[in-house]
Amino acid sequence: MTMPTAKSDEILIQQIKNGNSNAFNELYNRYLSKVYRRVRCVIPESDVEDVTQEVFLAALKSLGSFRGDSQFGTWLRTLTNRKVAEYYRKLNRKSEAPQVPLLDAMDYTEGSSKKIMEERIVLRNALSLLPDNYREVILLRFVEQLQFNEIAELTGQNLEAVKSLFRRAISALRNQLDK
Amino acid sequence: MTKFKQNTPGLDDLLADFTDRVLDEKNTDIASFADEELRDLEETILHLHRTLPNEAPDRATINRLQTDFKSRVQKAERPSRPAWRSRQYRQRWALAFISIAIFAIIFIVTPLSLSGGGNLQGTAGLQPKSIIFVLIAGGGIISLIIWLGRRQ
Repeated sequence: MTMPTAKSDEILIQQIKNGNSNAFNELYNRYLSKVYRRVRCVIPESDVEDVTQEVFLAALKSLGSFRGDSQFGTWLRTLTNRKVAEYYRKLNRKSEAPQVPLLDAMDYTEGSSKKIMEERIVLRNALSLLPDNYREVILLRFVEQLQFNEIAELTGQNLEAVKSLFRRAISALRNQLDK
Repeated sequence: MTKFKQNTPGLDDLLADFTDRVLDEKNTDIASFADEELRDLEETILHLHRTLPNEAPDRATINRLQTDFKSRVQKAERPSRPAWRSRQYRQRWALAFISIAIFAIIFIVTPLSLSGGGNLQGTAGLQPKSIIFVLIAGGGIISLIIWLGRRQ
């Protein structure tokens, strides 16, 4: 008995472009966890679900213009970063200070220790203040669990450059956390 | 503040190896006591590993997100209401129509009432008094329209 093979992203995208709306549900289910975890590292807990949905809605809306020059996952990652940036732009427009909500009542969910939650908020703030390429390499390694050679392949850099970038990113993060 | 050493590929490799071990849940002891920078960075790696929320959403959250996403898509696909159906749009038209009607009534009625129903022969058109009255009334209505428009 042969197991049904999962359709590739490219096939699903072609089906969506041909008007098959169910194909997008399959893509959504495939990438939901990835997008959610990435968003959760950089957005306050109370807005994680909303921003995650915004990412997929934007993907659905602009999928017609996706030409397949990069992988769908890469394209979606760029879209996610754009939505996160948009979130903070809106937030900063609403209130002049602080840049990032320092305390977030929703972070104190049942079962999670207060200390960890506070540390998460501090870490999230520190991450949000890092240059984009620093934050990206940290998220790729820690959240998406990509190996350094995979990050190198994805970003088109050599392995040494990625490791060096990673160390600079961790050093910058350390300095932010020390402030 | 951690001092960053430039051009130290050895440190890059050591930190990368340490990160791999931490993420593979292997040996997570900080062994690099010889170098202060590396020790600080390894501590940061451990902090990141411990603190970053990395759990996948649970089944209930996934179900809720799926349902919510479907309703958002349906809402986005629904055609937006044409402008003429909006309350504000209709109010503006109603206001404009009423204003024009009032202005027309004043314009017709005032000369008649001021001239005593048109008994005098040869009094064509408006008299100076009635013109002033019409202008004042018209000005008042226009001011009222502008004021109401700004309030909306």
